[in-house]
Amino acid sequence: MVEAAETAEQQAHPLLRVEDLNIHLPSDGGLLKAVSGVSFQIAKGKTLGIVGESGCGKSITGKTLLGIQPKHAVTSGSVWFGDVDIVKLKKNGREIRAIRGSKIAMIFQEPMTAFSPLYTIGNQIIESILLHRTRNKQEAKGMAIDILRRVGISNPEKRFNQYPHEFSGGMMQRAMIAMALACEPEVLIADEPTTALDVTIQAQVLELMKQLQQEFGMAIIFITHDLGIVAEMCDEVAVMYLGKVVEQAPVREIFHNPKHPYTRGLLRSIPMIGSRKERLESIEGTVPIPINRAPMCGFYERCKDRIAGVCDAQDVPQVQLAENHSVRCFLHGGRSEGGVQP
Amino acid sequence: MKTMLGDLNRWTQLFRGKKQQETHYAASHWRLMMRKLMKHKLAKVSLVVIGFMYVVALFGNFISPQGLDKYDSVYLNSRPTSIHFIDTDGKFHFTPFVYGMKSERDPETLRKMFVEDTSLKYPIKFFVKGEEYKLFGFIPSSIHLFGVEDPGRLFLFGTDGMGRDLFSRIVLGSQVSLTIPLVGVGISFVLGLFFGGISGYFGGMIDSVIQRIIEIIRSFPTLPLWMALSAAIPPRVPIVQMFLYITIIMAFIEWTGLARVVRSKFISLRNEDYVMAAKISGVSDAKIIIVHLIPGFLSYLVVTMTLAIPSMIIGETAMSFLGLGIRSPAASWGVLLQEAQQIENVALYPWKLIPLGFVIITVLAFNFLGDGLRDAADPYK
Amino acid sequence: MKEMKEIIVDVQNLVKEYPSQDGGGLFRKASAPVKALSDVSFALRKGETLSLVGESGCGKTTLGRCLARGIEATSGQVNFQTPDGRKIDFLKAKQQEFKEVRQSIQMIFQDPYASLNPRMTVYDIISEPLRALSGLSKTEIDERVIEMARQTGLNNSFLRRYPHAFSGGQRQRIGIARALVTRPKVVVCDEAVSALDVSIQAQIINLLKDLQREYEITYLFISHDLSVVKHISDRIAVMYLGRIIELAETEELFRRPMHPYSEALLSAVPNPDPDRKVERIVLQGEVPNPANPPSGCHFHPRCPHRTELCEKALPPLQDMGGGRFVACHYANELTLQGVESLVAQ
Repeated sequence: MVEAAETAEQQAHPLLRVEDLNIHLPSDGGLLKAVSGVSFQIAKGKTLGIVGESGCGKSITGKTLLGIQPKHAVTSGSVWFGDVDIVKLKKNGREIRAIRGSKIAMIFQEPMTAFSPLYTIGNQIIESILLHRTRNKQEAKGMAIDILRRVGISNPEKRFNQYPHEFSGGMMQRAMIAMALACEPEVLIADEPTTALDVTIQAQVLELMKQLQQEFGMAIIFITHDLGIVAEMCDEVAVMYLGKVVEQAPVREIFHNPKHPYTRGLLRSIPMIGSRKERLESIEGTVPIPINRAPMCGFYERCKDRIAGVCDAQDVPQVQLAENHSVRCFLHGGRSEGGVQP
Repeated sequence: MKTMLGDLNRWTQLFRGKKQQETHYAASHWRLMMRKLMKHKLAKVSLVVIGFMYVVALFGNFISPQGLDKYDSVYLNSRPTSIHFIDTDGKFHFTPFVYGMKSERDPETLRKMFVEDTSLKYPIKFFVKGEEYKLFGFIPSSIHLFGVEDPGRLFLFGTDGMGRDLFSRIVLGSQVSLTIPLVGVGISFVLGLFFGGISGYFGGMIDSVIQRIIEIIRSFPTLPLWMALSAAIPPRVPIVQMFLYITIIMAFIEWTGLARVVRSKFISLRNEDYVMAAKISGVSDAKIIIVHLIPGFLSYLVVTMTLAIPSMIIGETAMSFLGLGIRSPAASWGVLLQEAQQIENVALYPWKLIPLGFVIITVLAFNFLGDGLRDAADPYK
Repeated sequence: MKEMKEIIVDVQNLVKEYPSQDGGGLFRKASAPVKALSDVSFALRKGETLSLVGESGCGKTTLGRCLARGIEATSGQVNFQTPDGRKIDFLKAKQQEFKEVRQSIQMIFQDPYASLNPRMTVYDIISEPLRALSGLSKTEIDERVIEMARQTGLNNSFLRRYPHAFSGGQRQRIGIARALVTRPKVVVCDEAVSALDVSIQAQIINLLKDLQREYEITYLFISHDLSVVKHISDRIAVMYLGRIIELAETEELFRRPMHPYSEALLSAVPNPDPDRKVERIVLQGEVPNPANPPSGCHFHPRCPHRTELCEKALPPLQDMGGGRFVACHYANELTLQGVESLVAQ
């Protein structure tokens, strides 16, 4: 009961609230609708997983939350952080810079791209601390060494003065997490942070992130294609396909009671270590390119349960199945002329 | 087997509907590259400019009103002739005409100068008979694109100190100035492909030796090198032979850059997965080089070659300008600029700088084209 | 245990050394070469899938490429058993024998973008091995290519296109068609599904399995993804720093690993089930630099069970019976946890 009350309270005051986010990229062939109508929210101390295959728009969504989407992207909708709408802020203006790095931080798949090879790791971590937390250099250095120690880098005093090339892949990832956490952000966006790492190192980094989340109480938005990681890390999951959130629910609901045919197909197509199947069930076909696409279900061509004349005739609205389980599929209602029961 | 191929045809038939898409899918690397190049506006314009220049050079003898040996002892340092449509009475003529010229003395400097004699009118005619020449070196003809009847004179760009028509000399000079770089790049292409190829393919000791030689050649200061090399050319050689020597001198320096590109591309492509795949497919080493490696870097080589042409044009111009290359009465843009060496000449007869404009336009055009090609060289991005 | 099938490839003492990166210059003394593979021996059985797993730098890709002779091994043998009973060492084979084994051992690459020449049509790519090796006539080659394209799920119309027309999954199908067009007996799959999206990955895995059944192909499946490996393979070889440290049947390895590294590797895999909270063995430290491997057992700096012996002596790959080989001094004494037993209630 207490937990439920707490959840309700957090639902009422989410840390970050995305409402009807659209990101369009003009391209040679026409308008590429990278993201359309995406809404989600995340509370303090929780982890939201955004899963999907390459090109589903999950990465650009993450970048937009920080205001670092590509320059030519046309963005509409809102991203509420407190009472500030990040989408409305001027790009690289003072307000967004005050939030970026200090309140909302991000870690990437390739740690090498996050660091400049010309400066020491310590210098680069200090930079953001000096910008957001203190003006005293000695104090900042102390904080930086402290954070390096907390992400599990041994001998941080020595590491502080080393350059990025002296770090291995796993160490770099830790250093990047340290840099992201240096200002104790309220929201951490992790874009495939372990994809480039080996499994044993990945295990280390995931453990570290869980531990640090408990310590700092930040909200994590975990962008990944790996359902195994989602199962381990996330409280809530948004499944994206072709720029839309097709299903959103708590992690158990997603894994045990998936509603959308895509989510179901995705879960069936991963080989599970625990179970032994002779054949994997695959989703046929490939992801279409979202350029000049008629209003219809994005998954229509690959869906086994498609209803011709319905699914390919209109945009699919979001249907609320339970308090926190929503899906975009006509099999579960939402048809204007009366619903079809699953 | 027949039915199989029939099947293939059927599929193509079915795909006709999506023809545009299909042509893109079935477009080869070069076609994609061309398509991307055509999107680069500056490169497209440059391509047209360069094409125009070469057409003019090709038909040089036909376009130029005068030959190389023709001079006019009367009209020395004459300024460009103005072309008129409206005469002194304000009457409009459909065919443009020029006035006759008479010499006068400048009342202040007492220098001889030419002014228009409005009493004499010579309409400009096209396809006029004039001096004999051989088109492309073997078709005898005496028709010129345009001209005026004697004793009228038409000097589009004025004349030089010997009374030679500058326009004709620029057009005929372009034959030298525009072909030397092409031939030179051709020679350096062969040298570069050969030395760069063995350097990249064999590696090790051979590679080190070739690389050191390239470094030595590249570290020579070019100007003294040219001087030394052209000093080795006998002074009274025929024009054609002279031309050949100059080209070889230019190529001798230029091939090193190409060899480096070839070598580095060779090394990077050798480690591509598809080269490994070809090896595992049992393709012989020689065939891998011809089928996979060379086509792989040819587009980059074309870029480097295009960007090497401007430096060759400038090189040839500089050599001729210094009197080390082509010599009068033969013409190249550098030879023409020789006249502009004295400040007095430039101040009094500014039209003598016109050849410089052609050098600049050509060099820029090649550079822009090279830029466009570089962007297009990897059309899959 | 299933019946033992006949051996098709027998790898003996394979060694691959690379010249050291920071040596051999004009003014520096050349240091010892880096051993990417040290003394690797194993056998492939007809029609099976043997997976090579391990972390980056463990030598699994090098092993696959040496076996397919994409790169030349420093020493060792790769003995191929021909259908008519002859034994040919592929690494030393010349001329006709080379061509014969070349057609029988093929490879599928990881990166579907880098492994297809962008300047060749799909037809040219798929037919390349046949044109180079088979001596078939033009029409026979056409026939084979069309047949292979059909089996890998490629339309005939695709054959005239260039690779840029295709998505990752389709490109991988082209790569598979090229590898299988010579009807090879052994195919090295070097991370063949790692670069693909989950839903496409399943399509390709199913395709590989179907083709294996049809042509009785033996796969050497190189992957870092243990869930895929579990699904596809009959046997698994775990590699660490250029050596095989454990080789076992798939079920056996997952049920009860006998090398501490195998145990850690298995437990590190994220499990796509939110209710199975796994008690994970998190290894300390990272894979050491192969240029400067630790003394004794290469795994000892990260091993929770290490003793003094491990720091001094390199454990050999011992036959533990039941088709299992382990390189650990304490393989018999340690009781390690497999995946099933790692699952807490």
